Amino acid sequence: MHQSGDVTLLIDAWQGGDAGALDQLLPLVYADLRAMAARLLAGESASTLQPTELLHDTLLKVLRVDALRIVDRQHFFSASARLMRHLIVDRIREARAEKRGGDWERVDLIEAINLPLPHDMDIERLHVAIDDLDQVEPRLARIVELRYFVGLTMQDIAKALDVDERTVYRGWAVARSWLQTQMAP
Amino acid sequence: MTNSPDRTRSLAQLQWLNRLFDLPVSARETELAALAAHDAELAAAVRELLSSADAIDVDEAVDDTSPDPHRLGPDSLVGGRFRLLRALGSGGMGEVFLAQRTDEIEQYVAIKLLHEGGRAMSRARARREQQILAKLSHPNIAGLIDAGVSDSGRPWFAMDYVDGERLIAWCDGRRSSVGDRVRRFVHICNAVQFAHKNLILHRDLKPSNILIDNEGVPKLLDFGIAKVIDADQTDETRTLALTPAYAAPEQLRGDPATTASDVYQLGSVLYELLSGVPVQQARSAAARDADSNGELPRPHQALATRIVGDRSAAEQAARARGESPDRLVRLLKGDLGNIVAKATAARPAERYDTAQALADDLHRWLAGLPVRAHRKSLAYSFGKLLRRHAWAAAAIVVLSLGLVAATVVAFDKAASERHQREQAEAQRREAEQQRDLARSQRERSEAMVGFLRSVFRQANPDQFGTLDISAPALLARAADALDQRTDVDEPTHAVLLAEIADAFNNLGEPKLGLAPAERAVAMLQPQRDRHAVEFLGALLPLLLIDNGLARQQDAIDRATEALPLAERTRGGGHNWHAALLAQRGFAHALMGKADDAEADARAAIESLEESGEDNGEDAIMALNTLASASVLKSDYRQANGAWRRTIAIAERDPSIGTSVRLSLKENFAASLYRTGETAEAIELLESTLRQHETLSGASSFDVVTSKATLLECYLASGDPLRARPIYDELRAIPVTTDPQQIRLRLYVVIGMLDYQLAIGRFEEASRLARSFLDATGRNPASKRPHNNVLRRFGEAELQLGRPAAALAAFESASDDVNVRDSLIRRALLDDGIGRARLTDGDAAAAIEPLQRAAEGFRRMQGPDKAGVLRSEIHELWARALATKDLRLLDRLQEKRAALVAALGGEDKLQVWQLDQLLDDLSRRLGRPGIDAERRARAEAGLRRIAGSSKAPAYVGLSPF
Repeated sequence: MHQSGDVTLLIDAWQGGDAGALDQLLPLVYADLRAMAARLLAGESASTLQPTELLHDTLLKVLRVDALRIVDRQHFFSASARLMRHLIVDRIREARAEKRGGDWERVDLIEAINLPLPHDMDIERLHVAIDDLDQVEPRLARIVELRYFVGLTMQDIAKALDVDERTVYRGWAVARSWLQTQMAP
Repeated sequence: MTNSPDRTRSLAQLQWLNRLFDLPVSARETELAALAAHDAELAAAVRELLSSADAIDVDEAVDDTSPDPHRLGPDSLVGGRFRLLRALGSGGMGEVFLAQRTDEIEQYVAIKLLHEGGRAMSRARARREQQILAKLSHPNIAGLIDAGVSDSGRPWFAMDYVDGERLIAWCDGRRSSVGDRVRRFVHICNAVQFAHKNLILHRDLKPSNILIDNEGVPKLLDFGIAKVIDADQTDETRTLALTPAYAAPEQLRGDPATTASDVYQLGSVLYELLSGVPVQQARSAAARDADSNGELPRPHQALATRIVGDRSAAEQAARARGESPDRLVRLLKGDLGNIVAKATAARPAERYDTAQALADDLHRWLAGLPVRAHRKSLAYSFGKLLRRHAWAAAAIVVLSLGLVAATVVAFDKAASERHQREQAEAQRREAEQQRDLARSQRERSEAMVGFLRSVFRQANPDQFGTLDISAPALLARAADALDQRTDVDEPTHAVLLAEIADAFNNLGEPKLGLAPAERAVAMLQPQRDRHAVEFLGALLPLLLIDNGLARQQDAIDRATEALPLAERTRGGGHNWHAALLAQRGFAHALMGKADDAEADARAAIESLEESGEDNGEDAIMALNTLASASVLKSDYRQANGAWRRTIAIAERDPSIGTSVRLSLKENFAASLYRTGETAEAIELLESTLRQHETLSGASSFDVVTSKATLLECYLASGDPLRARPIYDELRAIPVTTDPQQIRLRLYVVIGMLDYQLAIGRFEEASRLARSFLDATGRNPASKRPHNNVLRRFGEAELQLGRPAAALAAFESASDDVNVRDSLIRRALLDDGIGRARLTDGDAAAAIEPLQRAAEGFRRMQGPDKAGVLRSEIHELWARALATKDLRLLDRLQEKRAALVAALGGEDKLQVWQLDQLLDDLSRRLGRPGIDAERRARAEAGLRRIAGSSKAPAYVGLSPF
């Protein structure tokens, strides 16, 4: 288990430009996020949920909102998904800036936090494409984020977004089809 | 991101896609038509997006490696007796779980659980369907075990769990050749045909429904389930249980599925399997093309389009098939493309009538025969025969051009002789003779060409209604036709008969060639002095045929009798003297007379060197005889040298036929294998085998022996997993009791036995060897087969812990004269005898035979080859047990290092076996076992090879 003080230091270090701090932070954030997701999806009501200090702080800092209160399950997951996308993209950008084998770093990172992102996916372009998706059909953007950047299954995404599974499947198919054209060279 | 026109456009596409995706197909079409009216480009793009969205496999969305454990109630029971274990995947219809039976023996099943709120299905109906589907028991179909409706109303199906990989990924991962893909696909067709016979349609065939299990067996999933799901479905256009990307056009229109729609889906799978282009991508490209009539582009066109559009994807697809993109295009352009096109014809009536007919045509393609899918044109069947039978093309070329060339040579010769000779009279006579000879040869060649053309013309199906006449049948017809011709003089008749005989022989049918060859020789016999070249030209194929049919004494007699004539005859493209000597020597070699064989071979080579003709076919034959004699004398390195020379000659001489070239390389590879040059042997065989198979068929003798050799090379390189596909191919060759085929069967059995012994299936090997020995034991012609299989039987018994039976088998095999004369067989048997004595508890008595084995391998292969190390290791093992001398453990460690160096790595079968041995040995000597990590690694490797949860316990190391 981590000490919250350490975590705060890590967040500060990262905000202060220390990319390495994010490497230590991310697995912790994910552990929290997944534990919460598990409880939520297992049926605990949203009102009893409290994000850990770590998660809360990270959400606040990354999303740059003044205060964050988890309103409901959908809200929590939407915010987390966006958070995770930004965190990962940040990390990849930093790794690239450090010029020490960005791709290797990427694979390493994504494997360390166990995300189902295809190995050959250009994350930077995916990031831009999801922003576009968000403008036309936000739900499609959330599905892709929850799948790729949080690692939920289709069933869990359905619960997280409070829609039926077919909707998720269809959304996924539409999003993937369109993303393929955006990702094509 | 700027608001570029591109971006605006792509966002518009997304909006349309999102809106149209949920609509039924007919409504989509209406909307797209309206859209196309004012923006055709946008409509086309949306159509493509829709098509690719239809094809998105939602299974991909489930990460098998990280299923969310909290959701997979490990306790939930389905049907009262299936306990869900973990999610396997998820699709539009529902989820799939791995589950375990709780009621009976341990059995894993796949449970398909349809979505809640799916169609209402009555329990009675589920039961009824299940009874029908349960009849569908076929080795390539994952069977339905049970079906029902859960308490919450979710229909479920329990099916055989297939632990495997998807067909295309499996093939790509192994770089399966196109031929190999077709072979596996045929099994799928057979499975579909089987179901059709039972009046069951699949209705949703697609690549993700076909898995290759751990044994390499294709398995078809979800048979008949689509029907159950759709049965109560009222949605008029789009059926839920349908993957539009692979559906037949009539299914998309909402017409009922038929066997023809299953054939279409099979064709769609084959399309992607061969070309690497998913059918929906090809289709959306075609939809933009007004001339397509709804037909898919040919697979080679789709691939060519891709080469232009996405070169790296095309290259990747080609690489996964062991081809270059251009070669793959060419490969798909011919018959294969026609087969795919016929299977995926837009109109059901134009498709294959049955899945069986599709399978049959694929078989024909594999065998290099004309396929039915093609328009029946003369040009086609002619071209096909010429491509398949290089001899046919060569015959025509030789007959039309070759003899003309000989004429030119004759004139040149006449001219030069004219200069040399002073006597005008002799000069005139000589020139006249040459001219007469030239004229008669030209006339004869024209007659031959005309005749062969008429034979080919008969293959025209428009005249005879049959296209699939086999080459042997065509030749038989040619022989008959020849007898009825009155315009052919006797020498020409005989020469043509000899050509036909030669062609039979080249087709691997020496039996059929015997009669025409004998007739040709008999016809020319009375005029053999006047037509010496023709006579010898007929005799040579007869000798080859005699040797091919184990009639060696006939060959020796005939050759000996004709040698004087051969010695004084020139012309006809041969050094007849050398050619006959080479064949006679080869006959000697086949009879085991190494010295006679070597003498003839050397005399032939000498004769060729004298005449400066040491470069052609005759030289190859002479060297081949020399190599065979060397093998008999266990001088494998001399054999290697002779074969290396034959190959160099064959590579330079374009007139050497492909099949000869391939056989030479395969012989060389077999010899390299014996001298422990495994890597080079593998490289050679991998380069020849598929080509040879295409040329001669999968069960031709040469192909089977080469497969057996390649399999043994893989085993000798310590990698049995690589040998598995070949083992499967050998196993698939039908068992024959035909005594003529006994040698073929022998190689099949030897290959299978070696594989089974290597992966620890000792019982199976013992049974197989015994049944072969029982079936052939009474056959006096099978002496050699006997001892080859007998040794492996002994090996199986030894591995099974029955050293007495093993010893008896080894000793009985050692009794054979062929073994006494063969260094390699003797060494292998000595090694077996040593290990058998050791296992029997007499380690001291084991030392001597093991020492002898090591010495034998050393003489054969030179020091530090894996084969030598193996017997040395066994010897040290016996010494250690006999003397309890702990220092020998260190010696064994040194040998281990040498073995690792010889094999080029630690993760090799024999290294694992050695570690197993070392661990056991040091414990027996009262020492701790080997390093625990190394032992675990060995155990894991051996388990993987055996494909079981327990590593086999070996007695010593598998041979090299």
